[in-house]
Amino acid sequence: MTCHDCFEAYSCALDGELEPELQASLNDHLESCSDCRHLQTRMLALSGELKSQPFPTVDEASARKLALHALQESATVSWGWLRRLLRFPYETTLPRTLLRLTAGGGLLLLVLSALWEQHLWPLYNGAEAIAKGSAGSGWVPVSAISGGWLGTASLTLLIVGLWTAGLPAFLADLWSGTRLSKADLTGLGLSVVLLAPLVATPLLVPLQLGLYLFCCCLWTAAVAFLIFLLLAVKTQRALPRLAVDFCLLILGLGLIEMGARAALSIQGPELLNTALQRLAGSLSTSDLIAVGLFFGSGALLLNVGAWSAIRSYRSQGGKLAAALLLVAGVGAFTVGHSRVQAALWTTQARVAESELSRRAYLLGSSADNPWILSSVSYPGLTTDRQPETESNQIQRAHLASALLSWDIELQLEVLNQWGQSARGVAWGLAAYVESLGRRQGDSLEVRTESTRKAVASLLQKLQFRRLNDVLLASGGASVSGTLVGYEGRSVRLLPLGSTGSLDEALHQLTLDFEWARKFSAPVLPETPLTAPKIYSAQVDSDGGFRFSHIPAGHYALAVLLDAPRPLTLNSTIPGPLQVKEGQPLDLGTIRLTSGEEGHSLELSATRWRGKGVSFSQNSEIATARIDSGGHLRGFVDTKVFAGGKALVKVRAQGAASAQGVWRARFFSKEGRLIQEWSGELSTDRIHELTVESQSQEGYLQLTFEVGQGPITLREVKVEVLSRG
Amino acid sequence: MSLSLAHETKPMSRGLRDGLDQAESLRRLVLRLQDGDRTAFESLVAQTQNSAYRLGYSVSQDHHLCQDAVQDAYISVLKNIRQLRDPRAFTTWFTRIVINRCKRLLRQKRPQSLTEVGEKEGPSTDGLEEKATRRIHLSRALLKLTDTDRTILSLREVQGFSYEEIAQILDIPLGTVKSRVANARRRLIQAYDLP
Repeated sequence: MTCHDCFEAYSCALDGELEPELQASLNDHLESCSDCRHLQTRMLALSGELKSQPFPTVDEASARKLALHALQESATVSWGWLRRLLRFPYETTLPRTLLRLTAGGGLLLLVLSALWEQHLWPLYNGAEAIAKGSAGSGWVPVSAISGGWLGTASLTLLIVGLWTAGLPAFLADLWSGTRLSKADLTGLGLSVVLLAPLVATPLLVPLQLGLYLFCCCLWTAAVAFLIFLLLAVKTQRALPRLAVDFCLLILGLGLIEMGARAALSIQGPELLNTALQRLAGSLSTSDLIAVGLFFGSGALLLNVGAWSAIRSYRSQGGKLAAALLLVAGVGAFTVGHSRVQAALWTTQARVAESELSRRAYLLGSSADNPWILSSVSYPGLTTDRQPETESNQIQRAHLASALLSWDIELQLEVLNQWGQSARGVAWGLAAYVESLGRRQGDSLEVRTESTRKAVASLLQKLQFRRLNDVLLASGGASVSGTLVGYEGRSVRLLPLGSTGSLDEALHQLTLDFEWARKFSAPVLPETPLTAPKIYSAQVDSDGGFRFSHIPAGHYALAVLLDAPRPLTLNSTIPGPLQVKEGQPLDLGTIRLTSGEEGHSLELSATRWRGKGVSFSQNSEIATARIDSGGHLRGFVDTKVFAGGKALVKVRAQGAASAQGVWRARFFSKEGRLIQEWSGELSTDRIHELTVESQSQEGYLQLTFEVGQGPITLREVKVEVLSRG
Repeated sequence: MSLSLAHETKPMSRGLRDGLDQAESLRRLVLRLQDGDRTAFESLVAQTQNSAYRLGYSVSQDHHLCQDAVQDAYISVLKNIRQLRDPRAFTTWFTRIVINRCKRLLRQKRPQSLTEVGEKEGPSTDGLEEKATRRIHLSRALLKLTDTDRTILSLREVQGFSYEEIAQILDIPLGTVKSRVANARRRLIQAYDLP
């Protein structure tokens, strides 16, 4: 043992801290070294001197004064009244307990509200429609999230909660000279880094996934750098360790930079990009900023608050309870969310076909024979009522029926009624309205006057955040006409595509029913409710209808009628229409006539067309007089001849010299001439022709041509001889 | 606030660590203070102030500086008591605060000159002259030491902390404590024996 070692060993021995195995070595050295024995003596003496030093003593009165002085100083130093206010909840039991409860509630409410909105977000498909004057009550519109009662209440509670949950103390630690532990800074750093995806959310919408990840990397790098600065300033970390930390920081920043560069090249799935574009299209810039600020600041406060709340508890049990509170908040949200979703989107409605079926008639089915008429079954809908979901079922049935009515105003009205009690439908209504036309800034361009009126009517009742006006689109051409005897009915133009084939229109009408059936299903479809691209109009009280600004192309005109009666044809029915840009198309007067099997066909101008013909009618009988050189032409309905035979009877009257010819032509449903029969037309006798349809459904055209007249037709009757 | 001085001849008590009952009492006071009970603070001051003054004086060798340092330390306790996670560690925590306050004030304020020490601590009676002279020499020797040496000698000799407690207070390894205590003693002997 050296003298130096001996001194340190004796120092330890003096304090009773020497290891027993060194004691022998120490004794040996002391015996042999006089210098060390001298030092030992001096050390012992000075230690006694130090211990016997006189020190000031303080009595109890001085202690009271010192305590009072310290209390005053601690209450008045630095921030004065603000500091006292901040310390109030810490130092008073009742407020502290109440405010801690409030803190828990605030954190919970914020978790619920933020996650609730986040989960409802994907269901959002457009600007919400809410009744005018009702903003702020009932459902909270998206625009009010940051300023509405929910956001204000939760943020207020959160701030109050943080007040009692240790945030001021933590900030004071950061501000004052009190050093922080490495664990504190590590916890803060990790929690803030984990916020990156949330904080960068506002940037996500107008950007691609790659740029979003890039922003996350930048955030992480900034936080890492900040934490390093705090580590250097607010901890007593040794310089060598700090140097190692700096090297690790540089290495970490390098890795983050590599990650950021790699992120820039990521395109992301098409589905996500599409969803982002749709979301971006549904929100204005100010809304994006508001939502981003709300989520960003809320998440930041929540994170730091939750972290400092956990930190403020001394016991492990308290920390665990604070963490469980957050987990419970998420769990409660999950349960609540599923119920909300069920209430919004799930019903048990059953919708069935009604007894009153309707038919959509296509006026004209081929270019060869423009008078032939096709039809598609177009049933209305009704519902099986069940008490627990009666309201929803009725609304569904109304909606399905309205969708099949081609009446835009009725559809919007039904959706509006339903939307007053279901937020999702209100959002759907907004999306539906936008799909009726094309958005131009804050106005909507629509193609028909009826649509414009319907949307304008809706705009008087509801406020759409970004829709203020509705206009008729410019360009195209108008299509007008008169449909006699069917006032109030819906008519529609069906695009035929470049081929002009009516099959496409028939297919579209068939799809309509299937499309409406989706909205009769027990669960609403996830796809947004959008209007089909139809041009519809209503027949006014004078029988007129008009389509405005129809784009150039081929169309078929369809009319929607209820009552299953068959319709027969006349020459006024138009075939496929060709609309040319800037050239108005007037279809004139269109007449639809009804035919009944085995009965006399009414001899009237509404059913027959011709030249040199005059119709007359008394109380008993209607007649048609055909002058010399005149002719009369009309159609007999179709289905009676399907695969069978029929007898056409004609009773004529006139001068003995009168003569003429009558013909019966059978056309297929597609308009192809199948067979023709003819006979002489003379007076005072009944003419009969037996016709057969050769297993086809088709149409019979009757033509009377008078050479020497006049001849008066007193009855035209069709009797079915056999069916196919 | 007044500070009465008395010259104690008996060995110093072992301060804040004396007896389990005292430690438990201190822990309860700290918990009450953390829960906002201001009356607990007065009791805490009464229980700890003598020890704090001893430590402050032995580190600073200056009555006024010691008084300021202890006051600052108690204000700091009030401000930061909620940051103390383990109330049983109050003594260690508080000692560290007193030492830091003393060091900060020593840095701001030049220590008293050796002459001032001699004048203030001058002999009062003939019978005590030799003892008083030794104290003056000891104070002068202590003032010749660095703050670090004076601090570690105060913790060991005056406050009676164990090496392990000193390691916790100063946040240094146990081996460093041993060598620093020995070195401080060696330097004190040298300073005391030099003319």
